[in-house]
Amino acid sequence: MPAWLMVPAAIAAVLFLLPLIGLLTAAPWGEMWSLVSDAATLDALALSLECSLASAVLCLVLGLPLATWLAHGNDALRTTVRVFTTLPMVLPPIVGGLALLLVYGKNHLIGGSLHRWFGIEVPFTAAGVVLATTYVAMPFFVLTVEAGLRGFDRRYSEAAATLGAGPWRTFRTVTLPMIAPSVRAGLLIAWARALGEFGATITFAGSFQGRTRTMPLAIHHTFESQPAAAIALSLILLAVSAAVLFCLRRQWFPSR
Amino acid sequence: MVPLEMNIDATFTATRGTLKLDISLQVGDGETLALLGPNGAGKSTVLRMLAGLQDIERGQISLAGTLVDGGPGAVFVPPEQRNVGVMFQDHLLFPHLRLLDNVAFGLTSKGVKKRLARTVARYWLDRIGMGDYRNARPDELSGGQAQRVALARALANKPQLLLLDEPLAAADATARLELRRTLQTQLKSFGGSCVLVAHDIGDALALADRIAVLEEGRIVQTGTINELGARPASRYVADLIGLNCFRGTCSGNVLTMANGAEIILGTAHDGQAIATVHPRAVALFRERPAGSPRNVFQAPVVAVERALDCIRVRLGGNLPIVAEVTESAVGDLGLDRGGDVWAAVKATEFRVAPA
Repeated sequence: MPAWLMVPAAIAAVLFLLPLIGLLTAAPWGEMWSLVSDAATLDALALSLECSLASAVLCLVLGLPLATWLAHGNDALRTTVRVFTTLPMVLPPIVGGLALLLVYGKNHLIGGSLHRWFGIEVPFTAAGVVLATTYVAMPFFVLTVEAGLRGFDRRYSEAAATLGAGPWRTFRTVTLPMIAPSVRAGLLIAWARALGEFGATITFAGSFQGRTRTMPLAIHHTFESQPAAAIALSLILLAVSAAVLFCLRRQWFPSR
Repeated sequence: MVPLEMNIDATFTATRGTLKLDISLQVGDGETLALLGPNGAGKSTVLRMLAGLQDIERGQISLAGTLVDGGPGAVFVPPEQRNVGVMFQDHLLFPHLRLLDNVAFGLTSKGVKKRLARTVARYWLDRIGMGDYRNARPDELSGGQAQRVALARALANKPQLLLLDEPLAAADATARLELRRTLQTQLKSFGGSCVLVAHDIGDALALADRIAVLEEGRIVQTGTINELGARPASRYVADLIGLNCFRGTCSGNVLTMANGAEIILGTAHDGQAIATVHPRAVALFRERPAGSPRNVFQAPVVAVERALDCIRVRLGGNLPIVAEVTESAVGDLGLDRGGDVWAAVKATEFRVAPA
């Protein structure tokens, strides 16, 4: 690495470090414990973790097949579907939330039928939070995994086929283990995106304590009345995220 | 020479990039056929068709009496149901599995219980001398070792038919001889039919019963080495088999043939061996030449053959050899009148392989 590259590299590192220092210095350390043990905080934290995890699982179950299909060709249909799939990455999340409301809302397309026939309401429930975060997070997973699959040497699947493995066994025992680093990276990115999701969630699911108020929403809610408490909440979210990233550092960051 | 029982009967056309293939290929039960040809002739593509990894355009492929590909819209048996073992050019061992599970993969795919499959896999690894490596990952192996494991992986599945795509290409010079020996042994005990893509006539001679020469997507000639040599169908074939070939017993640098004639080689070997040398490397003189060539001998001129762009001089005696010379040399040496000439070949010009 050329020595002069250290200058922009250091600037980049400082860019990430400064806000962290800002939060740490402004935090109300005295009230920290009472805030952490507060029921509303614990509710929000639990809801955040549950919903982001559910979102990551949905990414895996639905996004992996989608990514596999996308990686298997370059035709117009796939290109079109890929554009759709990546749209939530560029749209402001609030637009996504609004669009979801127009589909799943009680008086709209699918939401109306769901309500009429099954009595199910998605908006303004925890399921709504999961739907909104998945909508925003899955594109990151799909793109990462598709890139992994496109880099996968298909001759390995051919070798598996000549050894008597059908398409499903080949996918399960050869393709998937070989692209595992991409799947793990995709899951991590999607989970992180889901954990921090704000715009789509507040639009589609609202901010009801204990039901739909995740950590980002709780921070937003507190910020208006008690800015100091909001900083404390931010630090809690930060600490939890950092702890998770630290625990997964070996297995989950693509190191090769 | 072709046995009545046909294990592979394939007649098809296909396209790969700009190359049009038009193939007719028959391989008998238990026979090994070598596909030889220049780069880009379509050798590997033929194997892909037989394995079911690529569709044919027209024609049909039958393996062991069963139609496996009848062309578009007709029967197509997918590769996983063909029971064909393939050894790929760059081994393609699964990098995430240890060797034992690589070799067991085919059996577990067929529904064999994991424990039994591993026992069989261990037997195969032992057979190719890689038993100690069963817990190693493919990236810990050399090219030659990986190819041997790839062979074991294909054979452990008990295929009806074995396809080897340049099995010796990935091995370096020393590993090559060992790998070739392994292939010889395993092919002998395999007993099924085998098609192998070879690059080198020596490999083809050592491993195959017959040779099919593929040029620009067509098989221009099929036969034993003698059949090809008797009437080469193309310049490529002539070049391919136009090499001088000596079979004998090696001891150190000396190859002794059955009739007692000796050749000095550039490298040391032991046991049965085939030494080849290109006719261009054989120099002719009227008087005994001075200088360094280690092989200098006197022999009668048997024939002077004028080919398209060279002249081949065939010498008799107990070391029959062909020399390639220019028209002016024929005049200078008065070769057309026959008689005895002196031939000189440098020891380093010989290529040696175990027979």
